[in-house]
This record gives sequence, C-alpha cells and structure tokens, in this order.
Amino acid sequence: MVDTNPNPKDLSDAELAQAVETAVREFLKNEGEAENALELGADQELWSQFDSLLIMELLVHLEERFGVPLNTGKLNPDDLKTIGRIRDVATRAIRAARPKTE
Amino acid sequence: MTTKPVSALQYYDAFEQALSALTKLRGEYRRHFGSSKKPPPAGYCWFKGVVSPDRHPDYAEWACDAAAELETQFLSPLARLEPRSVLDVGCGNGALLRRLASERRDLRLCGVNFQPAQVRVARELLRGTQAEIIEADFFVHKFQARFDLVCLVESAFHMPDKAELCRRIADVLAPGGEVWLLDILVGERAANVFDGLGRDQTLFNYIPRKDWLSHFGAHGIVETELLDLSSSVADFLQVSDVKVLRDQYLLPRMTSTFCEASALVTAEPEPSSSLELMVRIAVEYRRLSRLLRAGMLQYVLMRYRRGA
Repeated sequence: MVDTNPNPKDLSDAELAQAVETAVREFLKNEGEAENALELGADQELWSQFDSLLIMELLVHLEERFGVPLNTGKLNPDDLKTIGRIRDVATRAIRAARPKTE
Repeated sequence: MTTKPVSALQYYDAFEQALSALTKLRGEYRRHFGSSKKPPPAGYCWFKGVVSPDRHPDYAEWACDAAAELETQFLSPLARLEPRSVLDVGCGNGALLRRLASERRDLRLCGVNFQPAQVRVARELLRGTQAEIIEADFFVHKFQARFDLVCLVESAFHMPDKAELCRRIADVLAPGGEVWLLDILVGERAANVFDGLGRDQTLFNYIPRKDWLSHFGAHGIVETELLDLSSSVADFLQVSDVKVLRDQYLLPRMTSTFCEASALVTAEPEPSSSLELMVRIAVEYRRLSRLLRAGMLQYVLMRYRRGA
C-alpha cells in the first residue's frame, strides 16, 4: 500500500516539496471547491480566486499535516501569493524542523 | 473559489430558520456564539444541538447555557459602571436589550439597526419595555444624547471601515463612558500577513488588536480589558460532518419550518437557497473553530474607556 502521509524526514528535498505542493492543491480542491486546483499554475495568483480565511486555514492544514508549526509571524503577504511560494516557505519550515534522515 | 457574497439579512434569516426549533423550545433568540467553563458533552456539535434540540437535548442545553454564560460575562461590569444609558450598535433582533430591559428598568436603552425587517422583529420582541429601536444607519444618524455605554455584540465585524466606526462611537460616547465589544480579531501570529483580513469578503471584516487600539486611541478612548475566549468559543463552534448535517439535520429543518420561524424570519426566503447558505455557514463555523484553536483568529471580549 502506498504511504499517503510519509514522514518528512524520509523524503528528499524535492520529494518533500512535491508532497507539500500536492497537499496545497488537494486542500484547495477539497476545501476551496476549486475543481481546477490540481491544474493551477504554481505561479498563478491565489488571492483573486480564494478568500483570505481559506488561505489562513491552508496554513493550519499544512501545520497539522506535516506536524510542524509555521512561523507565520515572519511571513509576508508575498509568501502566500501563489502555490509555488507557499510550497517553498512551507517546505523550508518543515525541513528546518524535520531534517532529512541521513 | 471565492464564494458568492450574501447580505447580512440573508445570513441571519437563514440562521433564524435553522434555529426556529430552539427558539420555540427555549425562547432563545439569536445567540450564535457562546463560551463556557464547562467542557461540551461528548460528540457535541453546535448545529446538531440548535437545529434539532429534540434529538440532542444535551447539546442544546450546553450551547444555550454557554451563550448565556458569555452574555453574563459580557455584562458583568454593569454594576461597577452604573450607566444611565446604553446603546446597542447593530442590535439585531434586540436580544441583548431584552435582557437588559428585564434586569434594569432604570436604564435608557437604545438599539440601532439599519435593516427594516430586523427592526420590526426587535420592536415586537421589546414591546412593553423601555427600549427604543432606531431604524437608521449608525454612521450618519443624529442621536439626541450621548450614551454611558456603547455595546457591539458580534456586529463590528460586519463593518469594514473600523476607523470610521471608532470615530462615530467617539461621537456618541459620553465622557467617562465605555465601549464593550464581542468580536473577532486577526491573531497576533497572523497579523503581519493578513492585515485587514476579510476585506475580500462582504460579510466579515476582521482586524488585528493593534488597529483597534490605534483607531480608538485617536479619540482618547483606551483599552481597559481584553479577554481572549478563543479556546472556549472554538469548543462552542464545533461542527461535525457537514454532509450528515446537510442531509439529516438542515434539510428537514429548512424545508419544513417556515411556520415555526415566521415570528423571526424577516422575509420568506427560498428554502433551497437558505439550505445551501446554512451548509456554507456550517463550513465557515468549522473553519472559524479551527482558526481560533490555531491562534490565527481570536474571539475576544474588549472593553474601552473614554477619559472623563
């Protein structure tokens, strides 16, 4: 059976980034009712499509999904503008808290 | 995707329909939030309790008690302040004024609301009391006198321009007077990123505490108390499976209780649109509960005072 919730420690940086991006897209599809969430460009502006409460909930979802608090106090609004930027800041935070197992 | 905007009137009408059984059973009026020191019963879901109090009397009981407890906490400094006059801004159906009128016959009580249909309901519920309900836009209405206490119970978050709101409150607040609010803030951990959260929506607009301090401070009105009730309100707002709620609770309630609801629903709405609106509200309640628990948002009781 495929592990759908792997431990970040067991993933390479590229795999972790992919897992984060998938989690973001699935959340937007399921909770944001965006049927096209899986096809949205990684650099496409999100704020025009989703309300800010949903983006806030997305951060909480990522925290729960990967078991890592995101230091939202240090984010700036640009960090949350696109799927790609969310993926990058979340991946960095997760990797910092859960270093890769050598 | 960004959801279709709804008016506050549509929103609250749908609520009144959903709550009609509770209104009938308990004489409860529009209490959408609560906070209790007691934990909720096992399996508690606010919607199940208020939509079907006959099926879940323990949920309904706890929710009603928690709402009353929050109201009691809100009004607890009344004896200390000893106001002679109280203004309820965005008074809805007058629930707070109803309680004040029953407890303090000596108070000058006034509610202001710009929704004609809600005003009609409030006047009906407050008939025989000293409370006056003014149908007007708070931002432009000329009041005859200032007030010792101005209350905003879950109404400020409907008003997008908080700077103007605070200016207007300063206009009507007597020297030494106080402002008491129950409202939702953008939490400190999210304030940098989500400054002015909800401005992309039409119904809710949350700001961080620092903005309230700044807006009121510009008029010599200072914070005297901030009570964070997020955790207990998150408990209150718990929502279970939305599909079950829709099919087994909201659908039967929203399509069969127009007669029960008629006293409070301001206009007979389309059942299917109200049903879908309540489903959306259930999703939003679940989201709100989650964000309150995570500290992204805060449900707070705030008190401010103007210098004498």
